Formats: sequence, C-alpha cells, structure tokens
Amino acid sequence: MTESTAPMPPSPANGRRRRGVFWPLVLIGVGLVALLANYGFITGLSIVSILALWPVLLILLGIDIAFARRWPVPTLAAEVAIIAGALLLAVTEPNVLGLTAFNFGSSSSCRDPQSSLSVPRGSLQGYTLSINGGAARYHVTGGASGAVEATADYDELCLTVRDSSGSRGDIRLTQGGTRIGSGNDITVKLANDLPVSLTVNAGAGEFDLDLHDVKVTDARMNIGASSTTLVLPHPTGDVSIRADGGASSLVIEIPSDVEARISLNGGLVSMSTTNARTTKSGNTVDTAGYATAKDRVTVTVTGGATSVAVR
Amino acid sequence: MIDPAAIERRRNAVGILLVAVGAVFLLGNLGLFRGLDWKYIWPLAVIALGVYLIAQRTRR
Repeated sequence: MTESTAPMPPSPANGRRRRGVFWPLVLIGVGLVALLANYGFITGLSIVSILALWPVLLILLGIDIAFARRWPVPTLAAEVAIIAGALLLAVTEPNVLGLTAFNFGSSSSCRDPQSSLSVPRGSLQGYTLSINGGAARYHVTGGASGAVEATADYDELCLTVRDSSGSRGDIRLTQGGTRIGSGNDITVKLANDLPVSLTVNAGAGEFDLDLHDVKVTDARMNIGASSTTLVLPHPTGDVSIRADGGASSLVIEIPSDVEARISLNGGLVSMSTTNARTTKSGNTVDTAGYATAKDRVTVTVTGGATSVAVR
Repeated sequence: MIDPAAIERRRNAVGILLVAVGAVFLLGNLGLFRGLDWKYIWPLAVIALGVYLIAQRTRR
C-alpha cells in the first residue's frame, strides 16, 4: 500500500510507520464482528452479507493509495470510519447486502431472464434437475402442480429444458440477470410424485432445501461459501446424497420417518448431532434403523471447512 | 528524471479510480442497480473513457 521509499511527503519514516495499519484494521474489525456473532450479540449475520462487503476493500485501498501520504491521520480516521460503517451495515441490514453478478457479456444460456418459470409435466415420468445459483436465498420444496415451478423477486431465472418430450426430462435452472443478492428470495417447487435426480451448484448463498415430500432418487450438492439447511427426503430404496462444500455450514434435518446415515470425508469437517434417534461414531452419524432399513438415505459430506449439524 | 509531482498525480488517479470502482460494486451489492444490464453499461463506460482521454489530449 504505502511504499516507504518514494521521495514524497510526508517523510519516508512517516510512511513506514503507517504501513501495516490498513490490513490489521480490517482484520480487527472482521474478528470483532465474528466474536460478537459467536457470543450471540449479533444475529442474522450471514456469510453472504460479509462477502458482499468486498468492494469496501477496493475503496479502502484507493483511499490509502491516493491520500495516505499527504494526510496520514485523516486518512486513517476515514478508513476506521469506513470499516466501522461497513460492519455496522452488515450487522444491522444483512438482508440489504447481496452479491451482484455483473453480467458483462451475453450469456448464451440466459438471454431472457424471468421472475417466474415453470415446466409442465407433459409425459414426464422423471427428470434430472440442476440448479445453478449464485448468492441468493433459495427455498427448494415439494408441492408443484407441474414438474418444476420457480419464482424469484427479480427477472433473473433462466430455464433450459432438454428432452422434455420424452418420459425423462433434463431441466436446468440458472440464475442470470443482474442481481443475485441475499436480499433476494428464489423459490423452487418440485412435483412430489415425479422421481428427480437433483444437482445443486451453489456459490455463496443460503439454501433451504426441504426435500421431505420430494421423490429424490439421488442428489449432488456443490456448495461454496454457503449456509445450507437440508431436510432429507422420504426415500424409496437407497438414496444417495453427496455434498461437497467449501467454507460452509450445513444443517441436516432427519425427519422422524427417515432412516439415514451421514458420513464425513476429509478436510476440516466437523459434525455434531442433536437428533435423539442418532448415534455418532467417529465421522459417521446413523439413525437406529439405518443398518436394516431397505429405504434409507446416505449422505456423504466432503468438504473444506464445513460444519455439519444434524437435527 | 521522473517528476515527483507526476508520480503523485498518478497515485491520486489510481487511488480515486479504485475508490470509484469499489463504490460502484458496493452500490451494486446494496441492490441499487437492480434491473440495469451491465452488458450495455460497460461498453458505454469504455466509450466515455475514450472520449474523456481524447478531450484531455486536445485541450493540452
């Protein structure tokens, strides 16, 4: 940031003394907020709202480069004020902040984004659905009268349907448009009675997947820095769910009529359970009847720094 | 010999540009540009920058 060697006022010694204040300030601010959040003084803070503050780093860097040499003290004061303001914003208005996808080019898959989309059943006997989302608050549930119904707060949804004439559909739901922020809710409803193979590719976002009433054959979730709640489906046969996560928090709810095993693979993954029907041994949580059940769900979580809570 | 004043001006310009870019993205994340299509905005911004640079050079 502040090179101490350039022969500009104030003195190089001054520049050297100031160096190293910018990043420590950011770290102190972020650490402080995380600490307050973990002690329960701050609620509602999400990873998305913190990540959405990344442009503040550019602003701070710019101020530092432009003004720190001439006016070191006022610049420092301004930086402290900006960091405090940004963190205050994240704490008090977490829902206003969202990550924006700036669509700079023509995206071939999403030329005409909509706020409401649906796929009729037609002759579908089952389908594969992939949801490719950025940072939004997603709610995925059953109860659709068609095959798939999706609504968003803004015109940002795109649908690619391949092979819908046959009995097997290949449906892709993609977020396009300009804004995919956490202040935005996207609801996706799936038919309860059509078997679905589900893939969710998520960036930083909040995903609320209630699959209990949905006939899921298998599911694959690639989740980035997101917080995800997953209610397991009522299975027919052996249903496999794979979740690959970055730095994410995953809450898995096992309904009382579902037998399930949740196992962890690698990384800094930690798991805890408060579900009375489950026992935890090592990296695996099993419900009492899992071993003998014919219809069961097997969840494998592979992750970077993922924390898994089983309820 | 490099003019120190020119270096300072350049630092200022880079700093202010960073502040402006950061401000645009922050306002975007606050939802201010909802409905704007950036694929039409950025070419306009490039054109505006070109016009500005030509105007500056012809003034000198």
